[in-house]
Amino acid sequence: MAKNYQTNDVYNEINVNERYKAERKADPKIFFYKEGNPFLGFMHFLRRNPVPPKQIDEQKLMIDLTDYARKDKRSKIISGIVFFVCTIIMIILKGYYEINILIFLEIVGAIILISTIIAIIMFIIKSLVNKEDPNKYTLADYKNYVIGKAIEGEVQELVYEPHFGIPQSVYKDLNAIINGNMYHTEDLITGKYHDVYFAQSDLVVEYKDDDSSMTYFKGRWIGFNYPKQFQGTVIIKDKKFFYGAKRKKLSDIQLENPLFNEMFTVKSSDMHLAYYLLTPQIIERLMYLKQNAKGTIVACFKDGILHIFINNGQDSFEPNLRKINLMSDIQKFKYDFSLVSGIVAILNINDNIYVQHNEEPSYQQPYQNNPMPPINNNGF
Amino acid sequence: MDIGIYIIIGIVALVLIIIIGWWISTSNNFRRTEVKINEAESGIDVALTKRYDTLTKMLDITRAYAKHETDVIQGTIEKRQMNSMQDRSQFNNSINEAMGRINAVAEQYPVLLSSQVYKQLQMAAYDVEEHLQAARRAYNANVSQYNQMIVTFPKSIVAGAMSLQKKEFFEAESAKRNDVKMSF
Repeated sequence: MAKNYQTNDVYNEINVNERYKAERKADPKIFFYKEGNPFLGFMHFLRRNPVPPKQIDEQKLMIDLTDYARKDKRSKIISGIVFFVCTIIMIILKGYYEINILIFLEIVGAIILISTIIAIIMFIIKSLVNKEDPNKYTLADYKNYVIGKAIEGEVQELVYEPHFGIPQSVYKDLNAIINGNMYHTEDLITGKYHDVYFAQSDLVVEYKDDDSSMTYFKGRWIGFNYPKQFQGTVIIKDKKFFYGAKRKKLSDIQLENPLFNEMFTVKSSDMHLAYYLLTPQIIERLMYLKQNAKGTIVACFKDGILHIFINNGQDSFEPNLRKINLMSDIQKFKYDFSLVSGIVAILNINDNIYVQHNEEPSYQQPYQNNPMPPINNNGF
Repeated sequence: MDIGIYIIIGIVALVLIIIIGWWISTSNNFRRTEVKINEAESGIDVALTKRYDTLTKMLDITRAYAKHETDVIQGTIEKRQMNSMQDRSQFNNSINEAMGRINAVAEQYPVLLSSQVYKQLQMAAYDVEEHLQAARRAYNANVSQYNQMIVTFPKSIVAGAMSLQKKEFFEAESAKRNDVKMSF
């Protein structure tokens, strides 16, 4: 039963490391159109290598995923056993033979080195002898299929890319949350829901060094094409979120709602812009969103786009490999997606009074045969 | 001199420094708030001028369909000097009234109502209205803060010395006040 879904499998076509590198270096201003709808430029960037979707055979997909889960479980068990055996050997060496600590550390290093070399040799031999079936479905295919099934019909121009997310340079340029030295983003979904273009991904920002580690943000980023056209920045930060970036050049704004002022701090490049975007309705709705988001929120309006960061400590969509259940995963993803649809409804982003954006020619459908030309020298 | 006198002089000097510091900081705070109020006030003027321009354009288009009614509406509004907030409020109210009357006239002419230019002007009018509301809220929030500072002791002493007066609010039309709906 092969079916076509409007989802993408560009993860098989792109060198992930090259894209990360390019995203880190790129100038974020090139992502957004200066005239017209800035979000369409961002969408062009996020989907710059569209390829036709993979044909999915549901039965084969489930068999392959079960196989994948089995191998995943097996490798975890083997790793556990190896770790256990190594630990026992270490204890015996250290305890019974009373080895000097420096010699002990040398032995540990040697064991790790030998184990790594053996693992690499085994991997090379295995990949030469037993080549993977190129048609075999992966976990990413499964997620892609589930997402397509869960929100097909509701979302147009849907594209899922498991290895990508909000580009690091865009995150840095927003400067709403502290930059750590570890940045990981995945499960990028882009599409159009109720005439609103959106993009969402999981995001983890951490700081790690030899002595300490600190998680600044773990949760979901969602970007929306905002119906009002504006230039400038307004950052709304939950007072319970402690890792907001210090923006000395932005002014503190006190709005007329004391309850809102108790919950959030507002910083803006322009007082009028803050009042223009944060209407009494939006203020009420942001408060409602905070009460229902199960985490702290940071919202950032910048140059025509609304970015919402929900710091809920969750990985939004990871199927349970111990107990694979397609229907349950579809329901789980539907629930996850309700955050996007809920924000569209709550903030009334699809308010069609400001129709300037909708009058523009629609973003080209994904998977057309003419991939977009690069828009700068960095390979974008 | 006795060391006690030095201590007393020191304490008095310290208290004076604190008072002068507080005085300067408070007067600067008043000045900053005044600047914010002036910014918001100019925002109101810009929005009102834009509203007036949009209204004039709407009248020009409507004139082709209903000359007499349009001329009557045109007669009720004219650009005026806006010296006080009351002037601005009255001017805004007259624009609101004229907008309502134009829309009522346009309702009678489906071709006009469905024309692209008229629709764009309606959208522009809506957006300008949003800007006006933003400027009004920004202005009133700052005026409220300013007025509270003027009447609250001990800042009222500084305000008195600087001869500062309470500022008037930019009043929204009662119909507009009821416009805010909260629905989820």
